Amino acid sequence: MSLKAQENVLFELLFDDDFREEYSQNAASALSLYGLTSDEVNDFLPLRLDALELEADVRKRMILSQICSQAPLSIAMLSSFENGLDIAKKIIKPFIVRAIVSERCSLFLQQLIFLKDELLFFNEQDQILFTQILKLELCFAKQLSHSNLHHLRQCKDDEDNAAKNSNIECDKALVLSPLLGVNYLPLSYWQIKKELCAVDSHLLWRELQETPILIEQRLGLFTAMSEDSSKCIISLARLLQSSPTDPKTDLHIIEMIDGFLPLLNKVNGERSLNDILQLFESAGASADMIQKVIQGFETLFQEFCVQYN
Amino acid sequence: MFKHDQLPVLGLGVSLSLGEKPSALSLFSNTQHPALPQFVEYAGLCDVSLLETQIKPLQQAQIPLLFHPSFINFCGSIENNISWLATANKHIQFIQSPWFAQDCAYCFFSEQQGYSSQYAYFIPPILNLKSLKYAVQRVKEVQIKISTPILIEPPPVTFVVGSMPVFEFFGQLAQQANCGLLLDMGHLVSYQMATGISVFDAIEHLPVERVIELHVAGGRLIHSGDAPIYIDAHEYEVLDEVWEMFDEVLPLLPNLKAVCFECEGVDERQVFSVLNTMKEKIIQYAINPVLVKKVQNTKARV
Repeated sequence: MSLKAQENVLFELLFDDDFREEYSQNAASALSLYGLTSDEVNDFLPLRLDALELEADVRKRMILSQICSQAPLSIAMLSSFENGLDIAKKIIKPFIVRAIVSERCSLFLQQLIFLKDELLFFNEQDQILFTQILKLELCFAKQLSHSNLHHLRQCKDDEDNAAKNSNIECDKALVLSPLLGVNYLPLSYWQIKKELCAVDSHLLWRELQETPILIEQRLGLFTAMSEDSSKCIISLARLLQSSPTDPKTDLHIIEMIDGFLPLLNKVNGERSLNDILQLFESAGASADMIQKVIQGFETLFQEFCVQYN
Repeated sequence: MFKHDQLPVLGLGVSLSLGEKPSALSLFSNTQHPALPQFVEYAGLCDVSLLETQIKPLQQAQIPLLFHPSFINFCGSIENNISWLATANKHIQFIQSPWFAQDCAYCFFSEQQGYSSQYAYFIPPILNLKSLKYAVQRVKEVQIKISTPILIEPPPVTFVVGSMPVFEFFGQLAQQANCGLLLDMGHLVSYQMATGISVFDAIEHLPVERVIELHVAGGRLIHSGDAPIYIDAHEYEVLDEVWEMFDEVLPLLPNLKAVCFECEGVDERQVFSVLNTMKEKIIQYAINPVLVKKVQNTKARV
């Protein structure tokens, strides 16, 4: 057989809890599924199980720490549920570890969305907020995915060439920038982060293991909610540094009042800002509101979130 | 034949992460201590253009530099990416690193090359003949693209897959791929603890003339089961077992050129204390007279 089969076994021993459990119960039986020769099997017999467990645990914690830094709100909130962090650990499977680093967070959050029914929510509102946060950070993670790098490189070139601070021309048709994220939250993203994340994102996993978020903290978010606390969260991935091996991306996040959400839905590549304002005006918007919309679109234009078609 | 005689003797040095404590420049600025570092080895990004602001001051101070990365697969069935190797070569040329050394371990398991940190740290190779054959391929593919000699380093282990003794695997790898070796004293201790077998039982397999560099670093023991588990943890103190290994290995290496304290996260005073112990031991036990002479003359450069 090939070295690849043995590499597979090594990888699964380190990153698959179920396989490691099978191996610890009956190593020969667990290894028999991999089509190894007897010599190849013997290479895995015996292994120090205590060391294997230790390694697997340390590696998993490090991977979770990396994911946590990309999805701080989701994992902080998850920690407030009974067994929440155990669910996070359960999600780390070989298919996630095999994925490249920038894709792992998306895969993790997709699994968490799938598993959230295992959590005991206080009420429906509680469940809705958790789902909104998961979907928001999933959107962020997808925006930062490696598969978008080529596009981000092009955008960076375009932005570098574009005049900064140019004013929006109101009669030109507008389109949303490709890969723009538009989401709704009943509270400011930054406010939730302030409430749930006491330390920098890269230290958060360790902090949450020692001090998980209390259920009271999670439910306390609802007392901060009001009619005008809800936000339209607009996110745009940017390439901070271009490099053949070490490209660096980040997310530019802009929060607008939630009333901006239906206006962004009107941006379809055919309408200009004037067209959108006209629609808004005919719906009874005041001069003051229209002025705010113009300012909002100017900000989005200057930040490359909307562009001319 | 591996041309060890063309490699410079660097003496006593420190290995660290640029931009983190302790600061290389600060260590080199100390004029008081009797055991000052003579070179810096650093871990860092592949793309040197992203490290220029940190590297330039070291170059201006004429500090010899070694690049010690963690993104090359020197073992296993997955090939290294040509673009990464080309970028690494630019890095090496930029800092004029006289050799290129890294742990022989898995840094990535997919076509997308990456750093070992994606799995927390290196995944050690399987110690058998088939794995050896692939490791030779991996080292050779790197040698084609990298303009300096390659040194490979046995990584730390907590458990071992395969039955070849560590010195036999790495000895054969060095011979077959015609490369040099870097031995980390803690990593060798980790093999002993993981297998319960002294590395010196297979000392006849170690091509001692190919060992160019040694590492000393902090670590800790986790007491579990029948035997302790060695954890490579540079911010901790250097364990007695590591010093004993150092004492035993030093007199075996005729071509040793560089001895390095991996000191990421270590307090500066502690760094100098360890360097002093290393200096004394090198003078007492090392058998390359040029190295001994060099280490006797550690002095401030900045």
